[in-house]
Amino acid sequence: MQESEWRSLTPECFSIESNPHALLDTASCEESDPKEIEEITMLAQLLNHLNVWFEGLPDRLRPRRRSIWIGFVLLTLVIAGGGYWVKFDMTLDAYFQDDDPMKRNLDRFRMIFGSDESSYVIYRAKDGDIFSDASLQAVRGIQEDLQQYRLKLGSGESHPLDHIADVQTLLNASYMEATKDALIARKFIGDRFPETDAERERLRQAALEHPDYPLLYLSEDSQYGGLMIRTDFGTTLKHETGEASGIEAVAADSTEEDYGFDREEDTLLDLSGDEIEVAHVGRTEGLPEFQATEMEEYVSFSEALYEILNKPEYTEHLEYHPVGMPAIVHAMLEMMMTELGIISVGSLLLILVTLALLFRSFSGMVWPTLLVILTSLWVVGAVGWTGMEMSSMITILVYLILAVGVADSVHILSGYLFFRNQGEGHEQALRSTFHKSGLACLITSITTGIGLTALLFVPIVPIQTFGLFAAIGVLLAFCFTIFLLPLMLDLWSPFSTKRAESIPQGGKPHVVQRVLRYVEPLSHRHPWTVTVLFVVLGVALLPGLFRVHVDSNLVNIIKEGVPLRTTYELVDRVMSGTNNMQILINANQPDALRDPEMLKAMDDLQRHLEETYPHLVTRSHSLVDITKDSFRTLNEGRQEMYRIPEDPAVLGNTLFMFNNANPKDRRRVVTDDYAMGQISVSLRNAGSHEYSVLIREFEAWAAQRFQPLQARYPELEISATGTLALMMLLTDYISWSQIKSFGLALAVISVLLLLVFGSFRAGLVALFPNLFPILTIFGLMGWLGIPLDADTLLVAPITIGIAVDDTIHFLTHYRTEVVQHGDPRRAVVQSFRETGQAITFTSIILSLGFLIFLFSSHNGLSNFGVMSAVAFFTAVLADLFLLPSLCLLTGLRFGKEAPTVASQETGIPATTP
Amino acid sequence: MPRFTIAALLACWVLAQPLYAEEARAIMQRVLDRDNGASEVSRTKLATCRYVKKSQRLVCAEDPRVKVFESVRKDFPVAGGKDSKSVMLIREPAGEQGIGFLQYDYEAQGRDSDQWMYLAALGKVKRIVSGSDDEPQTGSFFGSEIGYEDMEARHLDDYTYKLLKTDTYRKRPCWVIEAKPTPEHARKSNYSRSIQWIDQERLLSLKILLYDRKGQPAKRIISTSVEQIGGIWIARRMHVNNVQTRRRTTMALESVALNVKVADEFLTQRTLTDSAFRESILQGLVHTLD
Repeated sequence: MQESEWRSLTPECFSIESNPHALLDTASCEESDPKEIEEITMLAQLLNHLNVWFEGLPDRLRPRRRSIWIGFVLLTLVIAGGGYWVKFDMTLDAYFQDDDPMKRNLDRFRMIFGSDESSYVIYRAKDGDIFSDASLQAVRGIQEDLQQYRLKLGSGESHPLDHIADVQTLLNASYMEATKDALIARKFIGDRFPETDAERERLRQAALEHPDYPLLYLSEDSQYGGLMIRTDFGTTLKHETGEASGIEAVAADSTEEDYGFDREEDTLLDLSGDEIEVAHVGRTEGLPEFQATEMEEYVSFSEALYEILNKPEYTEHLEYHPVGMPAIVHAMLEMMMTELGIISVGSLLLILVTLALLFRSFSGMVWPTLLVILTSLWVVGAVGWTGMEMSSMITILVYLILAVGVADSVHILSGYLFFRNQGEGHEQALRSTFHKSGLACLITSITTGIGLTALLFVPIVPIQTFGLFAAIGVLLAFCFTIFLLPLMLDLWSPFSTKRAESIPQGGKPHVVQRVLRYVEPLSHRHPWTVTVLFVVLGVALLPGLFRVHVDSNLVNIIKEGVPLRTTYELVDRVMSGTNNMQILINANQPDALRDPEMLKAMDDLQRHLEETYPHLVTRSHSLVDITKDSFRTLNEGRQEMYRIPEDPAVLGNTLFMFNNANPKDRRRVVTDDYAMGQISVSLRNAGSHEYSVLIREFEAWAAQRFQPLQARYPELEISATGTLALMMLLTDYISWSQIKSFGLALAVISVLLLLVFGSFRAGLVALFPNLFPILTIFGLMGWLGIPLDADTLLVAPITIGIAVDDTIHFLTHYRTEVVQHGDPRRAVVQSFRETGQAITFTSIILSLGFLIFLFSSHNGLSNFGVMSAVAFFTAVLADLFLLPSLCLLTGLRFGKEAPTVASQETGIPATTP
Repeated sequence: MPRFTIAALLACWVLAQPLYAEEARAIMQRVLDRDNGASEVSRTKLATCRYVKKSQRLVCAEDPRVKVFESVRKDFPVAGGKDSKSVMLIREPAGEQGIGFLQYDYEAQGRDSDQWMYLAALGKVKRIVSGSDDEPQTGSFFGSEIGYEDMEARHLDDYTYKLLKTDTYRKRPCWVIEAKPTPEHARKSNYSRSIQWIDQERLLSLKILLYDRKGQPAKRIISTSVEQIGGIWIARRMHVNNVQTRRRTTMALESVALNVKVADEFLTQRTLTDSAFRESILQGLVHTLD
């Protein structure tokens, strides 16, 4: 077809300047007097030009289809190939700037006290007695296996269990005992297994009476025992040279030189002189950087551990309940791998089937799916080529691409079928579709794209990366829909002539179309009622918005009855809890922790925590406990001497004694110079919100309690740290960053909406239906008490993407119509019919696809599924009913504003399209 | 002819194995029997710090903790060798002044050392007992990186030896000898293996590498400032690098006197508890220091 021909078909008045001969629909142009034409903005002109450009696009692409296809296939191979190099950083560390105070505190802790991450295995004796010979033998076997696995390995070989720093059980727990003149520092059971029942009872009593053992090494009913495996996770130093601080790794791994020792350490450091060079790490020198632990390290660690635990000679006597980071990561990944695979495939299948059912065609199923897959491949490939690291936000990225890609292609497909069913031929239907929807797709993509690009201003790297590639994804989905879909439809069209013939003979239209036809009057007959209804709903939902709480819970996101959750509940019930937190007491001054006043304050803090939060805090351990136990031991084990000695000299001697006896345990609670100590607090599992409150409250309490000491130790600081507790705070922090980021994107999109139609009034009209789905999901989550966490937060960007899509599609159609005919009511009806189907299709497809997450054993994901479906559904409602009503109430006519509909009595257009 | 050569070489090699072991043991015997004076009085400084690597050099991560103590050792000849008694008294830091140690090492095979600690502020003497005969001592000497086990006298028969090679270490010809505890001793030891550089002429251990029970590198001990005092070779500095805890200790003999006359009575618990008795005798002994 010639260019002049297709241009002449455009029913536009506003193309006057560019194409003054193309005034086809003179009727609608009669209303436009010269004055009004002057009012037409540049933007409106541009939009009109674009409409024309899009309309001709399929015809211009067709002659070059061969080169386009070849070029596209080649490009896909090259770009998608980049996917091979995609690097993932799924750790929470990725979200932090290196100088983040929380991260620095944790790094300082790791630097001084080593890793706080441990694997904690609770065991139950199958014969009912953890002190029975069989049980003790099994525990000894496990312990020896864990300590001696290296014997079978070569000296250079690495093994997952190399992360073990220390294994402690009732057998080797350090135990101090006093006889009349001797101090006995020994292992609690060691090799001396009890032989008689009386001996067993004595041992049990001694264990239960020990200040540190109950809840850690055995449950109060001594049904369960605990195997504490301390690890070095998170303390591997980054092996980078030339760091700003100059502080480097002192590698633990040895070169083969000098019989396994690192030869260069021979550069001797004589400490006997008077002038010793000191690098005050963390004060005058920067802290070293630690490597984030890879998920796989936890997994292989757990697998190696379970291999030992599950030896038949041990399982015959013991039953295990492992908790701690390695166990939780292992279980989660295992669950996710099997389940996410099934659910993702299920979700894709559902989308495929829904597409096929809605379009009643096989190609209608294949093309949108292919477009989504291609877009994902390109985006992932692009990530690989740029060498940027992808965070856990990759999931959001993929689902966003899915939603946007489906929406784009469904709009085009649906439009195409609409016009084919109207009797237009293939090429003409394509032209009509592109004329009507091309611009909408462009505006949608640009708006969403810019909104996402705004995330580049958020100073958190994973969010920046996400924003950039999500924007690229949205634009790619648009480009593929615009440039490839018409060629795809040329190849294989979802329209069947058979079905087309059946329509004039009174064949049944699609069920969705029938429903739409049925509800159509709602969109224009009662604009006031509809608007008031939405306002009422909005007002009802609004308080919910303020009730939404950000909370992440490692375990409660798993549905009840799933083994991991059952294990956590058990350990929280019978032992000291599944979580822990460290409190750093940093006086920054040598010998501060030899001060009885300091220890008393620490003691008070520990008691305060245990008494104020009994539902969370099970036990705490610090230098205070060691001091009391040592002092009692020095005083012949008299119970009344279980206290902190008041006299600094006596305290000094007590600490001297303990340090001589057990330097390893001492190092775990206080630095060599007694300038900094830590209180280790065992916690039951809870949500990040509860932990944050706990931390905020106790830090305030501590600030007051330690106030008197501030005079002596002006730099004294008390702060919470520790991987797991901190991780919860970080999760909250990430959630809030994401909320703010998505809020920013939403704000940018809203501003763009105000501008893009060249009319403030249009922008306002567009804004409310656009915000309504967001208000609904977050309002509902508030009312239903569904916490906002990493998973439910996924809903936000997807909702924004889809809501914007629907609104813009409707408004673009409406604009074309109202500009052409000047009658809002007629424009509403026409737009409803043209876009209603596409909007509804998109939402049905995506809702069903996402609802399958309901079957996940992960509460977060199933909430995400439900909330997405709610979001899609409300987006349809808002855009098909609220938006038209607002158009009518405001009499929106894009530059040719007329009195509002309330004062008009225009009839419904007689013709149906 | 060639066949004979191979057979001869093979025979030499087979015979050489126990020979090497025999030689290594003989060397160690000479090391243990080396004259180190029948008594010793010294003033020693212990400095310990956690270290980090800065620009390729090891530096302390915090100010070293310094302890100064005075010690007196006296040997008591017994059948096949000597028993040895020593007393150590802390002078610095002020907060720990008066804390003392008394240690008896025995020649008799299988008899463990006895240790007593005196805590001045509490006025109590406590015998330090490691709980079970079959467990290694975990304690550290005055909170340094030197373990109790590193301080105890060694028994020749507790180890099997192997001469790994001869080597020149710090310009001194050395034997490099590997010692492994016998299965029985292994149960009590913190170490599964040690490699020592023995000065062939002076019979001093110049360097010791210690491996933990998992066979991983644990400590490197290097002795320096080797001097002759009263005809006896002595290393005045001992540097211990605990590669696992990333801490180092330097033990420096600030002053030392050998073969000083010491009353037997001084090497008893009375020295720990009776400060008047202690100081009066110690005054005289410290006087002999260089």
